Amino acid sequence: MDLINIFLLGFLTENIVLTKFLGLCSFLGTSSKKKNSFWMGIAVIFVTSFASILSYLSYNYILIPYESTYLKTLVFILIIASLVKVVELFVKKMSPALHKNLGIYLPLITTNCAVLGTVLIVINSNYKFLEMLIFSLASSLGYLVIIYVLASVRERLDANEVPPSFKGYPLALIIASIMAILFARFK
Amino acid sequence: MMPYLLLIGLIVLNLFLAVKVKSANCKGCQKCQE
Repeated sequence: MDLINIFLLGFLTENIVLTKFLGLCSFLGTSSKKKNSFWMGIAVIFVTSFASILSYLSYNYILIPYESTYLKTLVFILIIASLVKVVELFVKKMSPALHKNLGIYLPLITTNCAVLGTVLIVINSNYKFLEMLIFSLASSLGYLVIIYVLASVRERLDANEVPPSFKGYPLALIIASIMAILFARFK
Repeated sequence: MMPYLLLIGLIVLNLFLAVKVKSANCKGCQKCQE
């Protein structure tokens, strides 16, 4: 398949958040401020890309030759957990304030199904190395863009008068559902 | 044999990184050492 098509597939047509509905926990949790959502997206891009590369290599060069593909989920989770810990150490060292703002959502990237979902899609689609790299980058970039757009809308709406029953998550879910309807049209 | 070595290696790496993260988050009080 053409690389541009694969990019568009991961970024728009099969957007991990709005068409597959994966990673919604951190999507709603860290989209209250633009700065936090941006750095959350960057962390997800880093983890997803490296997790896809390492999972692809371990699956194709260790698990398939030794007929141990039943271990794949366990191996992928451990790879993702290691990468998240590296990111956590890096963020803590570089920006303690950002580490404090992201809070529990940074270590929770380990259980973010957007990351494991992307890795499993890549493995099950039998992509070649470059295709796998493009898809995982596009998928995580899609996550960053969507979370940043939602954070921008939420910041603007917070500055306006909103009925009390809609404040916070109800309004965020309504915005997310409207965005999901728009993304469904790309299919 | 090889897949199990990979699995054990990843578990050991995770434990090592978990200790690193815990010591990075340590504020010097006695709480976590207890």
